[in-house]
Amino acid sequence: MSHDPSSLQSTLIILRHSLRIDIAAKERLITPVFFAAIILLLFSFAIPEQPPEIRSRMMVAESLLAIFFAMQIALSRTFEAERQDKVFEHLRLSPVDSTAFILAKLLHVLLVGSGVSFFTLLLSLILQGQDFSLVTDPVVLGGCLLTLLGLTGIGVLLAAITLRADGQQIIFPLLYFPLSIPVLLCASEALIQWLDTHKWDDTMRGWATMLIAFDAIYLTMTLLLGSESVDTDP
Amino acid sequence: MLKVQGLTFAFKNRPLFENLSFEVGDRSLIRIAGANGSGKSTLVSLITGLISGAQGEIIFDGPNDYRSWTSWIAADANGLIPSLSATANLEFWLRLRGRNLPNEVLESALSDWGLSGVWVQENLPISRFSTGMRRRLALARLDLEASRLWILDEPLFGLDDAACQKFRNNLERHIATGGAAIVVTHDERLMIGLDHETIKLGRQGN
Repeated sequence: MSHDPSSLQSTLIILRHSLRIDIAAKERLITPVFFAAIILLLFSFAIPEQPPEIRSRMMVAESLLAIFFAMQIALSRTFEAERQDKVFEHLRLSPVDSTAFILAKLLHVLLVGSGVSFFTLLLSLILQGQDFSLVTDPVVLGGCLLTLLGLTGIGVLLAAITLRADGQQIIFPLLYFPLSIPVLLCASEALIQWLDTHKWDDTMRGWATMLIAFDAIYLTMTLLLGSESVDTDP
Repeated sequence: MLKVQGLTFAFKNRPLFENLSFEVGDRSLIRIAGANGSGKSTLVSLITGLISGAQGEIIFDGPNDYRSWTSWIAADANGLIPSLSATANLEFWLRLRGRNLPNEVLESALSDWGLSGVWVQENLPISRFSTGMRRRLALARLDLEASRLWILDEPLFGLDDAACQKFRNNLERHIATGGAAIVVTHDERLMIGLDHETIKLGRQGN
């Protein structure tokens, strides 16, 4: 007699399985990385040499832009495996808590996004001739992680809502683009402020708080509404 | 195990069935029959909970979550991830049911269904499988899930004669050992010699 796995076990099983699918179909990992690299290369070739203070701002802008579009590609494929061969219906009829399913998808996108973001940040530092110590700066890393959390939160929610929609490829970006703007604005303002002043002042604190607030809202909405949309009839 | 009481369902104002009632107990085998478009797959979707909106009641009588002791196979799909191998697929679906079976058991179940060899079992993504091989894999998963209630929509789809016979033997053994099954099938040969009840759905208002 077997026992149903706990929610945590289900989350880990689905997460492991999602990573396994990524490894089996390598282009799912390569495409976002490749896309981010192209954006950064285009920027570095198209824009002439700038003074150092502009270069750090350029780095923030192009990195966030590259991460944003790379994430859009990764997110639009989040439920690709589940859309085939009634896999999603089989998941619904397995003894799996829908919140565990959504949480696993969140963690999966977060892991993939972290890899893409780290690569993007590194390449951007090289192309903009910035100090490599920025890669180990906890504020820069924290800012990137918070940005990623916000983009992942709203992205997974929208991907779950549009999972069974016929025009998913059109609807998803139409909703994802405007809703991710607050996260990107807060992140870019906070990071630029930090790179300019290296001070944790009121302005910096204000942007960081707003970024955390958007993350909290989006992640809560995803866990509540995402699992709801998974359970609902098509 | 399962009680369906006074089930009425209409699709876009077209009644598919009205006041449908039946019970599934231990050792029950129910065949759902009817012409194309008569609502057989819809009835299965209602029973499993994939769709709602019907009047009447569907009551599962068993321990915990009914999904722990029911297994489902769709008519036109197998619920398998195309980029993964047969064993990876089995391992995933069985783990979600708390069944962490050793590799030898998975390989043995696959071999029983004619999916033998390391290449077929572990190296080949199932996107390269034929229709019949995918169905065999779905049926191997059904065996390993060891559920009490099978809800199967056209389980013989794509199978050759030998596999059809094997499935029939498995179904007979499942019922004999206290299990139950609801089977949608057009193929009457499957039911020959098996004690069963037939629910025939017909177009209403025609």
